[in-house]
Amino acid sequence: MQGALDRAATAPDRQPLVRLRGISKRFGDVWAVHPLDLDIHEGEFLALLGPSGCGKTTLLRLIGGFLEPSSGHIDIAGRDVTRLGPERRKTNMVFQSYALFPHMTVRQNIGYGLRIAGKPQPEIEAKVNQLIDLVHLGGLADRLPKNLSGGQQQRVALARALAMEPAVLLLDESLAALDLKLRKAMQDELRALHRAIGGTFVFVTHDQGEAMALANRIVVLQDGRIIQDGSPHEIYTAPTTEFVAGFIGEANIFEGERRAGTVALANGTRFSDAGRDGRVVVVVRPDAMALAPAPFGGEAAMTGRIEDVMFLGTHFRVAIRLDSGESVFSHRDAVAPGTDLAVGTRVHVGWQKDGRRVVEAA
Amino acid sequence: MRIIPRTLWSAFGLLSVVFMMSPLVLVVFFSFGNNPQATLPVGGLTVHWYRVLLDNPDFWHALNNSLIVTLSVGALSTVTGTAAAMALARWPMGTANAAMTVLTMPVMLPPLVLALALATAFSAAGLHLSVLTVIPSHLVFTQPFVILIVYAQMVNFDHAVIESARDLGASRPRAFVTVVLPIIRPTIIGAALIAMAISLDDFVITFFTIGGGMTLPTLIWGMLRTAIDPSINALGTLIIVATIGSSAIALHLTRYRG
Amino acid sequence: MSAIDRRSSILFAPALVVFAVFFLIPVGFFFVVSFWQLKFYELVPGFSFENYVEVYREYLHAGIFTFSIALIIATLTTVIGFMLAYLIRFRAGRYGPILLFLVMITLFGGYLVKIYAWKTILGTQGILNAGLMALGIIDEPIAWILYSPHAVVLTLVHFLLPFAVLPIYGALRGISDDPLEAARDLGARPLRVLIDIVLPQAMPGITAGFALAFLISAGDYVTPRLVGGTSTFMVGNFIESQFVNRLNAPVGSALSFSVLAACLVTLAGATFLARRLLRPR
Repeated sequence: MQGALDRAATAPDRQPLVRLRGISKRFGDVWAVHPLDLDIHEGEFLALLGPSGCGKTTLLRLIGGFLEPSSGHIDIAGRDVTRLGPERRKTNMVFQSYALFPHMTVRQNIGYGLRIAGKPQPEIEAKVNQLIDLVHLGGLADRLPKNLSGGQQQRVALARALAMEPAVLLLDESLAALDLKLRKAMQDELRALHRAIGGTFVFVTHDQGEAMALANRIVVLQDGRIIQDGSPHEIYTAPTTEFVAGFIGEANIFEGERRAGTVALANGTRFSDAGRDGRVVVVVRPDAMALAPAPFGGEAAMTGRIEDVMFLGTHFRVAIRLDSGESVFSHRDAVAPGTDLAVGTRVHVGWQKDGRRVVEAA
Repeated sequence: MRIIPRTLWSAFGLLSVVFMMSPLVLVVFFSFGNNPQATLPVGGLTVHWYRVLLDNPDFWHALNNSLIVTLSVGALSTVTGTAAAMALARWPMGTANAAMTVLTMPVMLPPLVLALALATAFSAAGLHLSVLTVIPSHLVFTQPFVILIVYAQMVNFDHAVIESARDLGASRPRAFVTVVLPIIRPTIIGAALIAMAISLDDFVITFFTIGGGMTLPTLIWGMLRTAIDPSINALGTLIIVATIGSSAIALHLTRYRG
Repeated sequence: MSAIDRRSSILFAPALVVFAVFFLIPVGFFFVVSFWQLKFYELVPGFSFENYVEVYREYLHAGIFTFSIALIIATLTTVIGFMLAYLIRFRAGRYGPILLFLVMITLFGGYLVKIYAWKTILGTQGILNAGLMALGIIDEPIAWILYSPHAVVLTLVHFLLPFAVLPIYGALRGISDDPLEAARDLGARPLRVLIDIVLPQAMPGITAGFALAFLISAGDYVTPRLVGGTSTFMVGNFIESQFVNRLNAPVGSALSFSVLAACLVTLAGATFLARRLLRPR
């Protein structure tokens, strides 16, 4: 991967590594992926994020060559690969089920692709040993998959794909089967790996927390379409649709209407916001939902009663029932010092202008 | 194999099916044909040969024996086989596999050797050969199939239902009869049908252990050795229908998927 | 073994008794008989290898002939059986279960009936010749198919095909699809995927199918008798002849066990070879 590092350092960031143009996939009458364009740049750690059935796995498999697109074409490293199968593309996939060869040892699994490519035996051995160290599988090299734990199998699958030094590494919800602690550990390892080898990773997940933790670019999909594409911070703070707002992170959502530059919510809150007339949705993250014992100068001024306080280790999560009837959530960070956090306490609830986002309703 | 295009695969599949089924189809076809020699042209359609067959006293004798043997073997091998499968289900996988391999040995032996061994042993023991010696001889190679089929189901059996029944007050035998048996009943019936089909069809072992009597297969053999009796097609058709029929039902019951 | 408790022993007992009394003892006794002698139509107990020597002297040639035919039959059956099983498992899609069902029921169609069926099909007035003549491909009936080794091979392959498909399909069913995709992802062309990933995992089923086909062919006497004619005398025929015509149980027994031993050696060798060839590097 040294070559990739050098290239990333010197080459101008213009030509995308992977270009999808007009790519779509149809199964009978169902469009799993509507025609879309996507550019993936070298060095990115990109997440394809969305609920079940949104087309993210289909899209990943289209990039990998396991499916033929119903329309459009795909370029990888400047080469048109649309008609090529996975064996001819410079991509490699880490499968959700790991897909290890049950009759081969760890060493043989990892070295398989190199053997197919006809590399000389000493070179294969050296590379395999290097990878075994990289993914911390030392001592397990001669075991069969059935004698490995889930986490270990996952690392073999990873090493096997990396052995091929792919231009793009594809990960298909590979962490889904691991328990929480192992997942966190693997997430850290993947990020470290990405920093170390500087490759391009594309991974599929339905877990927005995982997407935010791992990726430096998130593409949100819904019903076969790209809804939003940006950095985790952008997606979190500036969701473009109600769906994205609700899907990413926790959100307090208020329905309202905008007329002549003024947004009016059902509970009486009014503030000015430029934009088209019509139904809107106001998104306020819990860490921006302020609580105070007395009125404070915010864009909204609501009152309510604390219903529940949950201690989550790093912060409190406060559930408030507003007098107007809605349920909202707040984090400790947004609570003014001196506020009594007992259940039943009356509080004033509101937000600052930069803590809320107005999104056109679906 | 993407080297082999889809059309070639379809052709191969079709040809294989035709290859496997056509001899049987032809026998059935000719049993209804006017031509005494099983060839074209067929003449007209007739049930004449069936009447000839039914007029043959040997046929009834053979049918009688076949029924006695088949039903007895079916019942007995189901009992011994199911019991053994239950035992195997409790044992660790290695032991169970070893036991199964051992009990399956009679199937791996060439039938002729087994037939001669049985005949020699019976004769040395001074036993008179009849259907009574045929039945246990069949048992030995039908019970492995019953064991295999029932054991496969027992392995997938959710033992929690037995525990649940006992938790609700049922004794072990009661739980077995009221909970386990109804669940595995189709499998057992299927296994019994398979055992019967195998027993019905057996020729070699029956031939050497039956003494003077006849079953349907040995009758066919006799007809083949003597003259060209066209009613042999009718007899063949009956055997085909009986064996394929019972195995088709068995396959459906046991929901066999390979 | 603590897992073998009293209850399961009782359950296992009937099957075991049947096995011991009607298989182990007769076969064991039969084996002992192979060391006895036949003098003036009377069995004389003793211990002598004479029967085995006679077997080697008289039947070696027939044995080799039989084994060659059995090998051809087993190979053909296994190859075609593998292709069929592969078709059902990987390529037939919706039609897979139907195809499997059809294969399974032909398993039970009747042993003698099938042999008889081929006898009528292949005869000079049989439907094969009738068809070929009607199509104008030949002028005179082909007489050399029936009553020849070719007929024996054809008939036995037909009979044994379902027996081979079963264990092979069972093994193929246990192969998950993902590793095959993974192999393609790593650069393997379809043929390599077959050799590297499918075949090694299918091996137990293939070996079982091959062994079954080989054993049954080697010991068969009915098929050669009915469709093999005078030019095809297989070991099974000789065993039967020794027993039935000459009433010579000892020699018949010796021949039987010689064949059995030779079969096992051949199969062990074939299995070893196959495993060697398909070992991942």
